[in-house]
Amino acid sequence: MSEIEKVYESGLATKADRPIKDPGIEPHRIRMTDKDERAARNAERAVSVMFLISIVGAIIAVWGFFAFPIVDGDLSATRNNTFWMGVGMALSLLGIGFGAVHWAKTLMPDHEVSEERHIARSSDEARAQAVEIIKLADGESGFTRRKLIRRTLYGALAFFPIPALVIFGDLGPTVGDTLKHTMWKKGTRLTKDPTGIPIKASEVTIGSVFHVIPEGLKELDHDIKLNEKAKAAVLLVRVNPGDLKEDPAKKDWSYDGIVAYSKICTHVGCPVALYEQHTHHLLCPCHQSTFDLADHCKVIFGPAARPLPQLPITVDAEGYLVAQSDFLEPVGPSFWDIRK
Amino acid sequence: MAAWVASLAPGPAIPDEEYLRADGNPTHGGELFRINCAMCHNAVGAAGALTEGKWAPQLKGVSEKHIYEAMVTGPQNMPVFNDANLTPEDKKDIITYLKYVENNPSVGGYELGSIGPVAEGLFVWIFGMGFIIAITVWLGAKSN
Ligand code: FES
Repeated sequence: MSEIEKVYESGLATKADRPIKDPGIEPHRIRMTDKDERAARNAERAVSVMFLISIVGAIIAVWGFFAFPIVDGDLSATRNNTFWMGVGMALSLLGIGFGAVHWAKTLMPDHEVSEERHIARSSDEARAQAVEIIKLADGESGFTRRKLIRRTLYGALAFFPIPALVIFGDLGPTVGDTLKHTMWKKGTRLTKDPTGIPIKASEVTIGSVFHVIPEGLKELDHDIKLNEKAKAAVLLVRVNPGDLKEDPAKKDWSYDGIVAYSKICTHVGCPVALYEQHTHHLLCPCHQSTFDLADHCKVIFGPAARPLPQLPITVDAEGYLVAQSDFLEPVGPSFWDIRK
Repeated sequence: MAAWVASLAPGPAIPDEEYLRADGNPTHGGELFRINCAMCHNAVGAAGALTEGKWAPQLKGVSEKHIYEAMVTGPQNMPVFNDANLTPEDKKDIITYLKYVENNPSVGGYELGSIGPVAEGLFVWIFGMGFIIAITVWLGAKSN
């Protein structure tokens, strides 16, 4: 066996004749406070000043609590109260911490100690003993011998988590088709957010943007209202009819240059409402998806994967804008069975 | 000259003094501002970015009259907010809200330009982490 082979056989990554040298302990350096009584006294004073600052901090915190009482409805009072409490308590804790560390670093004894690492492997006797114990337990319990018990135990352990799986499968109601429908129906009037006042087509002048909620949304209970609004919010814009590049199949979805699109971004659902009057760009502020409002809100930039759904609109006998139907595709972020 | 331009097509008139006094309802104005304006101009009018390098300007320090006129005319890429959309009363409330946030200190403390998480995150990153690193270095250093 050659020299090299011997080295590899023992599993060493470095050659045995050039081991990394033990650097040993850094040379001891005498501190100022060890040499000079005056420095030590200064350090002592510094430590006690830090502890005093801590005391002052605690007092500031209590003073702030009483000097700036929290007044119902006055947010700046709350701000002052928490500010002084926070500053005081921070000083109080930091004072103790800094003082203790400074004390240890300057005045407590400063000798270096080294300890050898002990071997992690247990002794051979301890290991043999452990094997003995396991064998004994197996023998006494009959785990290997009593097949019936062993197999039924495995079975029980396998069945035990099943109830938990069933419960997890039933957390809350399933979404059903709630993602696919909104409050809009044939004849629902387009109304202004937040007042709920219906909008006449004649009021929407060229270049105007209206933030729209469906008629009746305002009257809903608060919780339901928020959920419905999150799906039904619409942006209403009138552009010069000549500017619209309309798909013949969707030609009658707009009314004389007035178009209505879902305000919920098809990326992850932020409200898309940054409308530029001249470029007809509609920008989502969250991740900069840009939609071309004049071209059925096609995505022209950014991470959104499909156009904003268009709400087909028309006017009723009194001249108010109404929906022709619900959106014809789900609004908001895509999900895996969106086309089903 | 002005009369000649007006004879071609009259535009919106200069707003009435009454709507420029910023003494309306700031709560209502704030709600309208958040629905109609905040997405571009930021929740307290600190400005915001649009597409391809365009931006919506800051509204702090803009006169009441200019804010009102901008709503009626829609300068540059800003859309128009006619009186059917936002009534003159609504516009007055919006102006009141803007003047209120401009002239009252922020209750949340120092607002770092009101531009939200970027400025706040940067502040914490630099000063918060800097402080922690400084303490760590001090803890590890030997006393001389
Ligand atoms: S949510 Fe609109 S771009 Fe991401």
